[in-house]
Amino acid sequence: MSSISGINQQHLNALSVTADRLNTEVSGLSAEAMLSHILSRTLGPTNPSVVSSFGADSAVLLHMMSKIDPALPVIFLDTGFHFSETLRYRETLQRHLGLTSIRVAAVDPLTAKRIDSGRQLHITSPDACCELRKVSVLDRYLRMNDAWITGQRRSQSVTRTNIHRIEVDRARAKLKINPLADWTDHDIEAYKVANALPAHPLAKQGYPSIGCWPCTTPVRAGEHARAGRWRAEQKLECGLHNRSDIIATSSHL
Amino acid sequence: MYAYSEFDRAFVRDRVEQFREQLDRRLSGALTEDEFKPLRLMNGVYLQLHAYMLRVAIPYGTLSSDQMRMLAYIADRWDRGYGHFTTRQNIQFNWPRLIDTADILSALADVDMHAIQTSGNTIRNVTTDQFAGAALDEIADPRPYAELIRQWSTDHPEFQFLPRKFKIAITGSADDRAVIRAHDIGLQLIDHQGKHAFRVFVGGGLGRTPVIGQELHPALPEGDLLPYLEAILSVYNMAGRRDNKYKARIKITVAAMGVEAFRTKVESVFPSIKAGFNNQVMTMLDGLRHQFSPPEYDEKSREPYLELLDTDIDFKIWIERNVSPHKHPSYASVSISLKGHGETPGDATSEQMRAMADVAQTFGHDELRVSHEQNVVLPHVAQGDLPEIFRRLQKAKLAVANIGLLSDIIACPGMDYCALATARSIPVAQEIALRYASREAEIGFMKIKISGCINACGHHHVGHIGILGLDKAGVENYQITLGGSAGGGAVDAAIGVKMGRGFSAEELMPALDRLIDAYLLLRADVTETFAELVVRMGTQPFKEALFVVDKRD
Repeated sequence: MSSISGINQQHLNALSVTADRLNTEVSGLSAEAMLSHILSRTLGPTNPSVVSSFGADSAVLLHMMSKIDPALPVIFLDTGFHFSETLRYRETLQRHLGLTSIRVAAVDPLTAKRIDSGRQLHITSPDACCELRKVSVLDRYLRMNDAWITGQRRSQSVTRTNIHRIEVDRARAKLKINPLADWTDHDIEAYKVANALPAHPLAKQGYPSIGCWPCTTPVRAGEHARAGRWRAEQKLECGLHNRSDIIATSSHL
Repeated sequence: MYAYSEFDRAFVRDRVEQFREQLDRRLSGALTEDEFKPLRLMNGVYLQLHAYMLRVAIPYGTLSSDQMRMLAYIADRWDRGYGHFTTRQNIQFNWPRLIDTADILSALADVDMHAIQTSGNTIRNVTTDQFAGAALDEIADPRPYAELIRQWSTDHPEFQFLPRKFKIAITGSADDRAVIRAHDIGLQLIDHQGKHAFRVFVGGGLGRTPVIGQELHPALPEGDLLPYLEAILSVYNMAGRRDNKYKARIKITVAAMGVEAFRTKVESVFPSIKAGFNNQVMTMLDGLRHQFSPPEYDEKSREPYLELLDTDIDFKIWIERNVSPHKHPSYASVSISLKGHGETPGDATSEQMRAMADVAQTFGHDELRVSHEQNVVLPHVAQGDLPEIFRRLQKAKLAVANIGLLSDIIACPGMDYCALATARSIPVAQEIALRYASREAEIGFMKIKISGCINACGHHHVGHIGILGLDKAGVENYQITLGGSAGGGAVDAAIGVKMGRGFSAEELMPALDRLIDAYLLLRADVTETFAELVVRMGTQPFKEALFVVDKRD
């Protein structure tokens, strides 16, 4: 993974100091106020990007962001395997929220042909497919940013119970901001209703978590929200958020 | 690339001077056309419908930029400013004056080229994968074997008067890009117990009796290649029919005696032939492999390529369609389409040839290839140079992004040039390309191949849609075949099936519309190609679509 090489410890230490300071500053603030604080660009990162899947809950973070700065770059990872509903929803939200800088990020065609010319990798090796079409792509598209802002929440999955509002992404040497880290499913639904946000067309059809069509199935009653992702695999994450041992809060550095 | 030895150079020079004397005698009237014909054909000079035609050999489709520039010079000085790249990876000049042909051959000899064995009942140019030596999926570069066969077959005294012409193709990849199953002999390089070996196919061919080649040997050791080929050729030379030109190809010989009996005969003569080779094959191969060593790669940054992808959609589309991954991770192979919409498939102007030569020299390790699909390839370019290559090709009108799409048509010269043609094929190709230019991206991977007579030079038998132009009582009539495939990729090599009565030139385009509309309607999703759909559903739904108008009448 190219992004791991060339990161120096000094830089990571500096990021860790910033993360600690920001965590203190935003403690007690609402998600909106926290985002506002981060995006003031005076004390926090100077060049952050939102990363959004335009999935079932994505409208919440995007709406908050659009109230502060609709021109903030939003990176959408186009894997080439999205549901057509997701692509339509992206356009719906773009119009509805007035987002002006959505960056559609995809793996370059030569690398895609080289590694997966038959487009079968999602069957033979879902991890390698996520690495090719999401992780490596995000690495490249974030290279000019010093922070990324995500909508991930602790309550989404057992893999996310330890996330913090401000973290250090050690693999990419960036700050990682999770304004919704402590939001519950109920908070999310209430926010959507209060702000009359358009729903993802698949959300009503039993898809609380939406990825690529070959690796996403509906969720049955009683299952957790991400149970429909990579259902046949021992896999709950694509690798954007949880590269083992590389994402850590400052206390783990 | 293979560099000529002093022997090669002297041999080619001698042939030029020999031909010059023959030509002088023809021009003085000392030789009649009948006497001269076999002599000119031995040097690639044909007489076509309107003019002489010179077919120049491009061994296994590999050219240097100097050689490409010489082709441009010849086009300007002695022809009409263009050349035509062929399905056998050669080039043809369509308008030379007979009086100039010796001078042209002499100019070719200056850059180690010739027209020997591009005609006549001999072993013709050995063809191969246009990405040989660059392809990510190849077992090894097939060109050392192709060159070995070229040396062995050139002027081979036993095989100058075969029953009929003889074509050999070789692939180094399982994904066959050289249509080996439609050749007299097809060779597929395989890894057999850790060593290079060949699956040998025999008796394939198109023409009036299309046949998919049958396996003769499952794993021939590479050291046995030449004696085994010689065994096949000597059996064919004796058993092949000479009484009927249309039954003289090896496919008829093999079909008549059965592949088992043919194999028995080959195996019976093989040991003595092998003994005669005295194990020289491996020594020759080792020498040749050095001549085809990979280029010295530049470790350039990929960044300019990645950056332009984000800002230039035309560049991105061109990369997706015309650029292939390379065995070196930061390299690529570029296919330059000679299929501009409305242009003649395979034609390049002298200006375009020079532009391709310049790009190859500056960015492509001085190497070019001709593909059997009548395009030109830069096999080795650094990805970081792709933006500049694209810009230069665009300027020369050579950046058409249609490789593998509907307008990437193989078409024979047809009635526009060929004395044998029964219908036009170039204008049909042009009309189809223009008609579907705006829809071809939606239609996706599609091979249309057009022949202007039953000799099938346009490979229509292996087209996903094959079009055969015939003459019906003085009127052009186009027969459609479906289900053909050249092999490689998802659909095995197969001969297409005739779809009933032919269509007049006026009826043809609406018929194709119905065919394509049926495909778009019936495909499972956008990833199911036309060829795959025909395999899944058979030809019946398309037959119905083609002839629906008749039913209504």
